[in-house]
Amino acid sequence: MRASAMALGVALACAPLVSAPLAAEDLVVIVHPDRAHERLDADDVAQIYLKQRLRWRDGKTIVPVNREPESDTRAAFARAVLELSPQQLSVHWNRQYFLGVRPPATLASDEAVKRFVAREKRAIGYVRASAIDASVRVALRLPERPSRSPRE
Amino acid sequence: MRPRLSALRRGLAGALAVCAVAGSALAQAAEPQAPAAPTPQNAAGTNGAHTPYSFVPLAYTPARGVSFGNSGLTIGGFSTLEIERENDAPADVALDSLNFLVLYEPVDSLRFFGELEIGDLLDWRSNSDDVHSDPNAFFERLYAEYSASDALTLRFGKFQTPVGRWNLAPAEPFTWTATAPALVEEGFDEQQTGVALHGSFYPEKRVVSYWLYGQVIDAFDGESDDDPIDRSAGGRLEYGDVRGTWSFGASLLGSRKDGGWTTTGGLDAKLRIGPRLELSSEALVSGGDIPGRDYWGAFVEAAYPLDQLSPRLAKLYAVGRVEHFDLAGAPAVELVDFGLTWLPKEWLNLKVGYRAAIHDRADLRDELKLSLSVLY
Repeated sequence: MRASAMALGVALACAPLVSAPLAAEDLVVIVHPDRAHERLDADDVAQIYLKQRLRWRDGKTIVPVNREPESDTRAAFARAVLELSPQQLSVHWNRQYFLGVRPPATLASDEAVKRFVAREKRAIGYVRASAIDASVRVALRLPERPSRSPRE
Repeated sequence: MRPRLSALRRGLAGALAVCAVAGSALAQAAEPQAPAAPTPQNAAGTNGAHTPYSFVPLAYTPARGVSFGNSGLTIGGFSTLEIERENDAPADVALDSLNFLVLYEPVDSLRFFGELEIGDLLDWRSNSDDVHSDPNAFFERLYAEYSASDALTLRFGKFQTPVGRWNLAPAEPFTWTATAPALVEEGFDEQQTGVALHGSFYPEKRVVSYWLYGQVIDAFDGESDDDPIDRSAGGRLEYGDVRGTWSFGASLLGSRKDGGWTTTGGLDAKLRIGPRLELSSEALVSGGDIPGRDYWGAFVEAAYPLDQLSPRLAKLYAVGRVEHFDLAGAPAVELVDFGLTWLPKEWLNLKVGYRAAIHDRADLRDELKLSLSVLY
């Protein structure tokens, strides 16, 4: 009964934006449930994760959280959204470091990202679809693209 | 180390310090205080739970500095060892500077940033038995910033002059080439001391960024060999895509010194072709009453990752730049720079480059340069 209710909650949370069923390995961008009015696409999320766009529409600072650098989830997210190689991202963040801009903080698991986003109204994160529940809202679904060559 | 603080410098530094303390007090007053941004420690350690405002624990990330708890304070920096040899001149080996980057973001809208340089640490010429050392400390940058929105941020203090794109991050570890373009080094003052309004808009999945700024007080804490302008007013507009694949910029700067005015205008562009080739270009023209400020110049720079040729060349880039620089009263010069840049780690950057100066001037000559930069 409890599991059914949770599944229903997840479905309701995802319904406004996700028309096709989510596969467990799909990546989803998640925000706090109070951010029901936020509409994001991949370009918006890229701006947020490159620290070009810093604020939500209500004026609050956006707090993006990344997975750790070695994470497959992070690599998939970078391919799908940022469209930058790890080396290009490294160059980008070194330059931002000089400008006094810190990269998004990292958390070591989907569960940690989900719990952080569930508690922090300014946060945005990404996790595998299998990790979400009603405590967060899916703002964007990112079907994983096929891996590119490591040389790209 | 020989700090050189005049009354004006003390005044500006003091004002920023007062603002910093006030910001800190604001941050501590709010309960419960979410971190200004979650650090790996406070966020991971609590699985996302809010923690009280704290300067502990310390967390160090190479090339990203030390962060102090969830206080919003981060201290990092960089340093570069250079070996250079101009034609016929003795080789010069220098540990030019230690640069400390201090960022403090006590609350969402307020940030303080400083770059303290301890310069002239060690210098040895191959025709000398002596190692020269004359350490001195000064602020390359020092400012406070209040951000009302992405579109509106107000800055006060000393900051990089937003003319073109090279000058926004001109330090050795953050550039592709070992040498800097002459038009950036000689064309205008590297920093301004005063106020700036800047921000970004996002129309139709594009980014429009602007700067309006002016040097409204005397230059703050310059190097002893600087001869800064008295006052200035300038602006910059940049238009590009959201992922930085391409962008175009235009800059305009009016500078006043000893009653004379000089106007500097420029266009710049950046283009990333596929995931590989990065091109950037700047053109500047300047004219007016200030002596030594009449010039025009342009350069095109390219960086190409060599792992395309062989996986063994991973993180190695071929870099090059062609520049024309024509300063009134001096021979026009063409500069061709080419070399290799290796980025084996985020915190390590090695470059070797050769500059060929065609129709060279006394101060712009053929030069071989190696540099090793560490970000900490």
